[in-house]
Amino acid sequence: MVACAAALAGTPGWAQSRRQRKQRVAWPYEYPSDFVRNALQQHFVPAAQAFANTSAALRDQLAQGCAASPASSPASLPAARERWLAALLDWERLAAVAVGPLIERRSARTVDFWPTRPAMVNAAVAAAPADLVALERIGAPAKGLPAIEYLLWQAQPDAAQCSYAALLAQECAAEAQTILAAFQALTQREWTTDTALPVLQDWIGQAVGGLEQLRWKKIGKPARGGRKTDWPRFASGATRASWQATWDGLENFLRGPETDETYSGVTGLLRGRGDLAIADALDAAAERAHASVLAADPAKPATIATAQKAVAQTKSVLEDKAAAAMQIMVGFSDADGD
Amino acid sequence: MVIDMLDQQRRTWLRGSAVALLASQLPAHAAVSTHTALLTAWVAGDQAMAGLWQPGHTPGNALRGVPLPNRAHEVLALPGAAGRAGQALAVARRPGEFLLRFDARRAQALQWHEMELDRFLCGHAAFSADGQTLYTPEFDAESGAGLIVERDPISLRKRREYGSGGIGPHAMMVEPEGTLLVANGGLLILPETGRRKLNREHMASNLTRLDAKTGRVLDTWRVDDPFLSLRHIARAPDGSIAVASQAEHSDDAARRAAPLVSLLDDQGLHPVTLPPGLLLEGYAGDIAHLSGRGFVASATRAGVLAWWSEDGRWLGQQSLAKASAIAVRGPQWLASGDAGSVYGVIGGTPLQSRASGLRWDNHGELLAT
Repeated sequence: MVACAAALAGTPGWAQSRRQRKQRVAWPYEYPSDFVRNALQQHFVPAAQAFANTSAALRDQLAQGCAASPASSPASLPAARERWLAALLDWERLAAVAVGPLIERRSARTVDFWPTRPAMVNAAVAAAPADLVALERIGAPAKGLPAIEYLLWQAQPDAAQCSYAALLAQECAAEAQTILAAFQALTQREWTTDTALPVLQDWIGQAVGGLEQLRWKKIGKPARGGRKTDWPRFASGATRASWQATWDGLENFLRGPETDETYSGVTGLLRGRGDLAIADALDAAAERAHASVLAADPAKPATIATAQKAVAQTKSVLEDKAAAAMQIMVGFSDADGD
Repeated sequence: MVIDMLDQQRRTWLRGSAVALLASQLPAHAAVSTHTALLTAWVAGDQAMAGLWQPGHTPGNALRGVPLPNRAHEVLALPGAAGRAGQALAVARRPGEFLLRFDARRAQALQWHEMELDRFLCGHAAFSADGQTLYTPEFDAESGAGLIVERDPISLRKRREYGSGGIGPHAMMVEPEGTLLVANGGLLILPETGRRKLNREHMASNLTRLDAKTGRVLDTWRVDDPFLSLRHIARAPDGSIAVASQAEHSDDAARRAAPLVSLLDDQGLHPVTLPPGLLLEGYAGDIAHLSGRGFVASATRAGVLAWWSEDGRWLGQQSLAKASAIAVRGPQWLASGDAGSVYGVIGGTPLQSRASGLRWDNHGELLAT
């Protein structure tokens, strides 16, 4: 039966949705090495590839737009904004569970230092760094996608702002390529239980951290602040899209992609171990979080509170039940002392 | 001699057990002074809180707290200058992102402070003797460097910062002379990896004394064992200083058996000797000094309160599951345990009680109410 389920799982024509997968009566045991390999191939590498593509498109758009005319020209500004949004959402999906090269390189400091610091961005624009080497002397708070957002959503970005935004986009695209190459290199590794287990443990800890980042840093803290400008991606109006993309990245890791069952996420790992009740609880919590993050709207405080709570419950199941069942010490744990 | 020592330890242990047994037979909320309250942080369900717990009150009235966005670690009473009575400060657990000044009696938030650019709290703070300066151990998210930050105790805004003398600063103390004593835990953490320890193999913990006027390092002490992360500090009235550690040995046996308390003397910082067979399981959550009783450390994983004299003599232990916060006020003391339990002596009476449905955090202060 297990073999049968496994065989079906590998047949594209029989691809099942997350909900259908849950109904299965038998799950193959998944070794840590399988989990890591599948997560890399089905989640991290595709997400890194998507971000590499869209960040390259943003880079190219800004390079062309700034060369031809300032980004504020009627034709190029909307296109630049559109590409910025695509790159941002792909980044959110990739960075939702920040592991491997994202952590080793501290990529978020290059790509997504948020909240951006307008005064520092303005000073950097005035300094007019000529290339990526010169850009290294500029501090992280004035760089990355949030700084580009600040510049592109100016009423009338000028030539200096456009040039600086183009340079930042170049840096983001280069970082994206490096991240992609590093994830691809990880897929080539010979994973064994010994090498994969600590990686799996780290990743689950990082997923707990990712849920907490979404709950608090991106939803709860700005809600408490009460200023519209505190919402993530406020200038571009992409707050909701940003939350949804982050959740999408988290859910993909936790439950596997909706239509690709080669990787069935942490829930599949749990089911293979026989932790069916915990897997069901994680699935159920994720379903609720999915719906509530989709509905979360800064203009409707009740939806914000619901989303926070649903994400917190998902975190709690992952940390207190799933990680505990697998005897994983979670770096973002709420349970330990200090 | 060895037999005498063992006998002494056995008798001390039995005495401790007897106290524990006596306390365990007390009814919950036994008749104790109601003029003392525990200022601390806790988690009830999913909600982190900071506030007061008053022994002797009915369960519904015993707890008054302010909801927090995330767990706090240390909660301190503001020094009692005019207008500050009953006010307290909650410090977010590392990597911490908020400070809260609140009215502990009314359970009312007064001043939230979010951290400055690229700075994170380490869970602890201290006030200067005159109450005019708040010190917070912090770290720089870019470099990981440890910092001591001076803040206004009311607005909580930063005045200046300087190096803590190491990485991973944790608890600190303002000494009677005005100097600052900082336990640099030596462990590197970064906000993007939460509380994951990134340099276990190369950790470098120390105890540093700083000049509060200049921020200059006056003295640095290390223990011989590089895998002891120095975290919490207690001082006796005679000036004896004890430091509690957490053990980070990769070797399980070494970690479990590590002496978690070190004493500072003219010769340096030296771990105490544990009685044979005692395993403190690598984790001390808090340490305090109790007049006439010595230093007491909470070995949380071992479920033990462990006692030493000021000169390092082993005095005995008491069982307390998940022993954690230790709060002292004169002869009164309370230690927190698992599932909302507290144990100690208040108003001269042994107390064992429980605030149901919550989990205490690591530190607390006893206040007169």
